[in-house]
Amino acid sequence: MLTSEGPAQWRRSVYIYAKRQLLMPIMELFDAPTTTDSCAERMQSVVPTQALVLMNDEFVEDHAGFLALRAVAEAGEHLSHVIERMQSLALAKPAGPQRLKQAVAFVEAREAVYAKVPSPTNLPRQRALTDLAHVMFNSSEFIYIE
Amino acid sequence: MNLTRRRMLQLSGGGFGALALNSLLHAEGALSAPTSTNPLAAHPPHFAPRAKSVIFLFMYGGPSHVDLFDPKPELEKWHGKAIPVWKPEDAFMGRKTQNVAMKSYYGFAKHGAAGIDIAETFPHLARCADDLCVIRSMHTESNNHGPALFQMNSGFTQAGRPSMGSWVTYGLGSESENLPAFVVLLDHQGAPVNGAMNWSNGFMPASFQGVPFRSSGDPIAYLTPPKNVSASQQLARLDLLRQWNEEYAAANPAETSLAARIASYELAFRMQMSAAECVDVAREPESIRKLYGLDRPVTQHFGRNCLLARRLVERGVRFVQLYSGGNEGPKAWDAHDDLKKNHDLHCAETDQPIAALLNDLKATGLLDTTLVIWGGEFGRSPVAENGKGRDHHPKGFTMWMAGGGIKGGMVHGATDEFGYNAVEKPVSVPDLHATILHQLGLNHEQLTYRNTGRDYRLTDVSGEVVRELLV
Repeated sequence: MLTSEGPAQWRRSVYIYAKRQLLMPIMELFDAPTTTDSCAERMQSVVPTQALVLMNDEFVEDHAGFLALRAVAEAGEHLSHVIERMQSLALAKPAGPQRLKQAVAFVEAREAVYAKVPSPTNLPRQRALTDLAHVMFNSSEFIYIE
Repeated sequence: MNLTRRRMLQLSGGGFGALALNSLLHAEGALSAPTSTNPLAAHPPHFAPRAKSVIFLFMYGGPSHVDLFDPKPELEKWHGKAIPVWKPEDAFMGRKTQNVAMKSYYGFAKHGAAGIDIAETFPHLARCADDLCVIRSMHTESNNHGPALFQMNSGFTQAGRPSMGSWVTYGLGSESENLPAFVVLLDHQGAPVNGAMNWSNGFMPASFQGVPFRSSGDPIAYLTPPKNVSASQQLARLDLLRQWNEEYAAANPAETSLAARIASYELAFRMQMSAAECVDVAREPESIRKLYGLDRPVTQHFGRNCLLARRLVERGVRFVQLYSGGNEGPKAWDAHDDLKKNHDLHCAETDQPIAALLNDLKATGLLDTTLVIWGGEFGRSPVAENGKGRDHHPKGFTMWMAGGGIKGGMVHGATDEFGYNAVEKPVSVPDLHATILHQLGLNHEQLTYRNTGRDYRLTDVSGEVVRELLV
C-alpha cells in the first residue's frame, strides 16, 4: 500500500491504474463514472463532501504551496507580479484591477499575521501566498469551464 | 475553534444568499415548497408519511433464520437425513454442502404478548418482542453475497443501480442542514463485499450517495484541515473565497450550480462542527452509554454505531445503514464452518445494542417516525455444510421491522416445515422496498428516475406494499 505520494504518483486521472471494485474516493466524489456500466453522459454534482476535500486535503494544500513557490521563482519578489503570475497559471486570465487589489490586501493581511510569530521555518510571504493559491484552487472559476 | 457570535451567525445563516436561507427556513417548517436548486432540499412526499427516517440494521453475511427467528421442530426429526425439498443448485458451496438436515443449536421461547419465537441468543431483543414485526417469508434471487447485497440494497442483483438510501434521499431530500441525508456506519471489521457500491448513487447524481462515517477519528473524510492550517487561517481563506465565488456567480447568473456551490462550502464548513459533535458519544449520559453496551468490549463497536444511529436520526438524517459484520467469512454472519461459534459472537455483539436502540427510540418518541429494519442479504440453509456450518440460502429467510407505522408483535408469512422455501405470504425484496417507501410517504411506482431512455424504479417492474404489516 502506498503511504506517501509524490511526483512519481501524480498523473492525470485518465492515466491512473483503476481497480474495478476500488475506485479512487476523490474521483468517485467528483462523479467519475462507475466501472461496471457504460457511461453515455457524465453527471455533475455539487455536494459538501467535495468542498471538504478541496478545503482540507493535504494534496491541495501541498500544491497551493508549489504554485506560490513557482510564481515567486518566475515573477520575482514584487507582490502584484507574483499574484498576476499565480492567477495566470491557475486561471489562465489576467486578474484585473479589482481582483488584484483584493488579492494584494489579502496576502498582506495574512503575511502580517504570520510575521507576528517569527521563527526560522516560518516564511510569512510563502504562507500568505499559499493561502491565496488555496483560495484560487477552491474558486468556482478554477472548477468550472466557462 | 474560536468563533464570535456574529461570525457564527453569518456562517450559519445570512452569509450565503437566498438559496441556502430558503432551505434553512424549509427545514424549520417555515416554507412549504423548495424553490432552490439544491438537490438535497427537502421535497414533499407523495402522501402523508408514517416514518421520517429509516435505520437499516444490515446483518451482512446472512444470519440463520432457522436458528434465530424461525424454529423448525421438523429439523430435529430429520437431523442427519436428506430433506425432500433440497435442490443441489441452491447450494453455494457445491461440494461442501450436502443434503443432510441440521437441527438448530439454539433453544427458542415465545416472547411478548404475541408469543413471538426468538432464540436464546437474543435475551435483550426478546424483551422488545411486542415491537417487532417478524417477516418469516422473505426470499431473494441470488445465493451469492455480492449480487444478493446489490439486490437488498438497490433492488437489482447487478451493480450500478442507486441504493435504497439514494432513492429515499432523491425522493424526499434532506431534513438536516448540517449533516448528509444518507449515512452508512460500518462494522469495525471493515466493509462488506462490493464496498462503496452498496451505498452507491448508481446513475443518480453523487449528491444522493451514502456517506460512510468512520468509526474513529474524523467521521467523514477530510473533515478537518491539515495540521498546519489553523481555524482562523481557514476562515480567512473562506472569506475571500466566498467573495470571489459570489462575484463570479453574479457575473454568470445563468449558471445555477454556482449558487449551489457557494452553499456547499457553507454546509461543508458547518459539517466540520456538526458531524464532529454528532459522533461525540461521550456527550451522552453514562446510563445511555451503558444501555448500548459501550462499557463492554463485545458490544462496544456495534453499540456505538446504534447510539450514533439514534443521534443521526435525531438530527434529521433520513437514512442510516449500519452493518454488522465486515470483510468476509467469520467476521460477518457468514457461518459456513461453525454456525454456533459464528452466531454466538455476532448475536452477542448486536443483541444488547439493538434492544437499547429500540428502547431508546421508544423512550424519546422517535420510534413512531423511525422505521427500523433488521436482516441480511439472505438466510442460511437448513442443511449442514461441513458438519456444523450452514450455507447461503435465498429461498426463504427472516427479516424484521419495528416502528415507523409498522405493526409490532406480529409474525408474517411462513417457510415450509424445514425452513427451506417461503411458502405462506412470500415477501420479495421489491415487496419489502415498496413497503419501506410507502411508510416514508413514497409510491414506489411513481418514484422514478430516467436513465438511458427509461424510467427506473427501486422496485423495477414488481413489488407490492405488504399492507398487512401496516398499523
